[in-house]
Amino acid sequence: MNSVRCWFLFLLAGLILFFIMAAHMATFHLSHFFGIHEPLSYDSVMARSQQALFLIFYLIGLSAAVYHGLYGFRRILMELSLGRSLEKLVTAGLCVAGSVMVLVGMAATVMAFLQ
Amino acid sequence: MKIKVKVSRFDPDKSPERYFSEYELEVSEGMTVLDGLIWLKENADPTISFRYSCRMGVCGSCAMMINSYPHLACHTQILEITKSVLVLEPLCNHANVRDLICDFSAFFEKHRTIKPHLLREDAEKLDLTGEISQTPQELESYLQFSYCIKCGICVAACPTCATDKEYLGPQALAQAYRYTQDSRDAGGDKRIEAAAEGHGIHHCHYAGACSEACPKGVDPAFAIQLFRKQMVLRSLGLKETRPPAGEMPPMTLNPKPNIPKPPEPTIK
Ligand code: SF4
Ligand code: FES
Repeated sequence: MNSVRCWFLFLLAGLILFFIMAAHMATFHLSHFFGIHEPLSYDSVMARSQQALFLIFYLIGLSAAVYHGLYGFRRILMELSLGRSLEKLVTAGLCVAGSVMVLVGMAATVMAFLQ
Repeated sequence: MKIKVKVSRFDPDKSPERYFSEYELEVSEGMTVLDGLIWLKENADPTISFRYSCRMGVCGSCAMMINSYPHLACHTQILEITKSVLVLEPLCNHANVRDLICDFSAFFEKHRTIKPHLLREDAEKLDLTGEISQTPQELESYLQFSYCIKCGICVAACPTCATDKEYLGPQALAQAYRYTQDSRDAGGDKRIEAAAEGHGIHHCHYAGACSEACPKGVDPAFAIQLFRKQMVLRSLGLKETRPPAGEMPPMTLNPKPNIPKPPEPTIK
């Protein structure tokens, strides 16, 4: 049943990303409609990062993107029929890589929020 | 009408290479590919090897690539496919052992892993000559998927089977759903475990090529989607597992006089 739950989580992460990416694109490409003309400038990024809503938005988005991406990447690697032991090694490697990415990303997001 | 038939030839005892033999065939209205092959074997080249048995789309033995698409040879009329060149090759994604013949042992091994039979705790205690009740609706929920004749065509059409040799394949997965959905069965969890682990159901890419090619209208891609839904609901505890349907009570009707008694059951 574990693999079914992991797969379901992969779908759920995809669904979350759909909305988060839409919001992300709107922030960066439609921001002039809201009177923000340079969404990528240091001041704009910091102003956004210090809002609680954006903190939650980035934390969820980061976790969903890393999980969805690495799960999909793992599935592609599995299709190479690597053999059971190498498959376990790949899964463990990707889990470690994913955890590191999420931790580093979370640390950066929280630090920007607290500045 | 005369057409050219190109038959893929392979004899590993003589050469590791596959090659084509070409024949001319007089085709008439309604002639199937299998009819054509039998005519060629009897009149042109007795060494062509191919499998068949029922000649009416029931046994699943005569599946092959016909002009690059998997079909049953007995179920495909030549003139519906071509009026000039007919190319016959062994099924893709199965090991070719001779001319148009493939080895199905890996296919049946995968079929076996999903436990394609009713699983229930009380199997030992059941009266083998008795009946287990099932409503028409319960039968309807898996009937379509039980029409599978194990011809291997869906596996030949599947792009995932082409790239991932360990993938369970549409046939086995559709049958896993067929038995799990059967109201007489109680082995859903075991089957889900077998179908979800390793190179199982999550490797399906939703291509749908299996359903398009299946000659019996089984629609394995649909079964895979339904099975996925059932797996998720069960893993989240949103679907109650039901006990398997029980045995019918023995008939209590008083038979009319002068009706002969039925013979004794042959299975004790
Ligand atoms: S699902 Fe269809 S194509 Fe696949 S083995 Fe069964 S009958 Fe053949
Ligand atoms: S010979 Fe039986 S299915 Fe074609």
